[in-house]
Amino acid sequence: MSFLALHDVSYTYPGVEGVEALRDITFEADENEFISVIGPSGCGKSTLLRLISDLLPVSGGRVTIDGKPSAEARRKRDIGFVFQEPALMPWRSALKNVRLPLEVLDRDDEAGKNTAVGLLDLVGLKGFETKRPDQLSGGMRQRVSIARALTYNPQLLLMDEPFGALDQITRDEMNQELLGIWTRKQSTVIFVTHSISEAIFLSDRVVVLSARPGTIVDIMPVSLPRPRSAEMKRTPEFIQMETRLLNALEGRPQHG
Amino acid sequence: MAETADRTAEVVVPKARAAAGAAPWLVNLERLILPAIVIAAVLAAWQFLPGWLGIPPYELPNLSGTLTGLQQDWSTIGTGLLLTIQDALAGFLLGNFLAILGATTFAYSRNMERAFYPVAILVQTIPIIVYVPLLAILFARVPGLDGNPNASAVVGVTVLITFFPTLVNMAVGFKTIDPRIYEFMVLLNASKTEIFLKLRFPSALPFLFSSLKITATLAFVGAVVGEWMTGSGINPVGQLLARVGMKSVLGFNTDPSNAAGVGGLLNLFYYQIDKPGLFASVVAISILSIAFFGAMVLLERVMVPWQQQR
Repeated sequence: MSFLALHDVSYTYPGVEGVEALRDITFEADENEFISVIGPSGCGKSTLLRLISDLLPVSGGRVTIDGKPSAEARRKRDIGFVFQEPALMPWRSALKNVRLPLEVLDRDDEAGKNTAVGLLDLVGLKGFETKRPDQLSGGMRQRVSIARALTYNPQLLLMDEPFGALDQITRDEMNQELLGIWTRKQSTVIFVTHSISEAIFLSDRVVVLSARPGTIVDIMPVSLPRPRSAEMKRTPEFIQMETRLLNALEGRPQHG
Repeated sequence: MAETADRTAEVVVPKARAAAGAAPWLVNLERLILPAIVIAAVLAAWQFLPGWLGIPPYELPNLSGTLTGLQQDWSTIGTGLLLTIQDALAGFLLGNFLAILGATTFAYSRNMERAFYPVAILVQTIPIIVYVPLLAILFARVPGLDGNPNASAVVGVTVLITFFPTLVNMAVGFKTIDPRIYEFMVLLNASKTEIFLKLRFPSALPFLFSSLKITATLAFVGAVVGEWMTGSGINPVGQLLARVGMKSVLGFNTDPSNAAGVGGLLNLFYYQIDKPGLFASVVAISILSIAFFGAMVLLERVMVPWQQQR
């Protein structure tokens, strides 16, 4: 049985003239699978992550995580979240930001501190423990944000365009490192992005959403072997997949 | 190792230092010298203009005349300052404490906010001076405050004047939180209190300090207005000093029988037509008020280092 399952999930923003954001979203993710979700701006990608994590209630359909309703998974702290903005507490040092979930979970003991220090090391920030967010660059802040989401070992990691605000070079570097972290930490990842190449490079499968109301127009398996390297982006295979996703995004019929 | 070196290059240089370019000390010097020049010019004008314009010293005391007045009336003004500091500080602390408590209540209960916020605005719209006699009459009936209801009214009016800015600022500050961090806390199943202590309260600290800076000067307005109307003020510190034998400190009585704060002295000097004394009182209370404001600025730098002006 799949780890994460969405069945006919719909969402309409409440209000007098409720805007329909998502319609009949159905897909499944296996344990430790890396799935990317791409779609045009405003198609409800971020909303989808909030429905999966029970931050928003679904208007229709259901979400199950490990066979249980998502609200239960949230209460068990099985869900990690990385936002587009690092969303760090500006008054806390990098280490204290990473320790925040442990404090809330009442696990901020010596072992917890070591976990946090180890995670900062894992995301490449050894030696920056005492720096405040305003003393770090955008890329480094996003690394702290990733480390924070990993402190409590969530089985499901939701990432909402985490590298969208970074420059291309930093972004490519972060993609490579994210794959390294994912290989070591092992969790199911739902990764929202608007970059086609990022989606292919990272994922096992790519889910393509249409413009509002968002519906699934394609689910494409990525046939590249792992570990992935930057050179793969220049292979005909990769370019072929890019073309397929581009066509799906533009609503053109698929070839072949 | 090479990777770590790369990261070091990513560290952001603090903008203030970067903007200063080659000579950062010059920027700091400009920040000190420019206002110093303006202040010196004002003081010089005060010293020399009255003489040049032919205004006699008994009409308008100049700088040196005022300083002489300060020296001559020091035994009275020193006591006045001691009382005014206590009135202002007591009102400042109590007013801000109550305001933070009120805003905290609002943060926990939307209905409390709906019920009491309009009342707070209503109390604020009435001119502050009106409250002095009202409070004096009221406190004459309150056990514990009835010993010196006039002095209690001075503190009461200072509480009122400092309460409102902090209430408004903190109520806004508790709500001005990063919505992503809030979602993250919800995702962690954090309790309302955890969200308050770990997110709302620190988020509101910059708001608190902008309010503390405003209320630091307002507290002296409240204290002086109250003292001016009642000729009274609280003096627990002076009484304590007198009790331990320090009846005189720095040349003024710590607990005289007719103790009046600077606000009361302004009244007194006005009717005695003691213009140097009047001007000296104004200068003394201004310096005190500025010093208190400066203390809040320093406290802000220490307490909210992440929120420096960029």
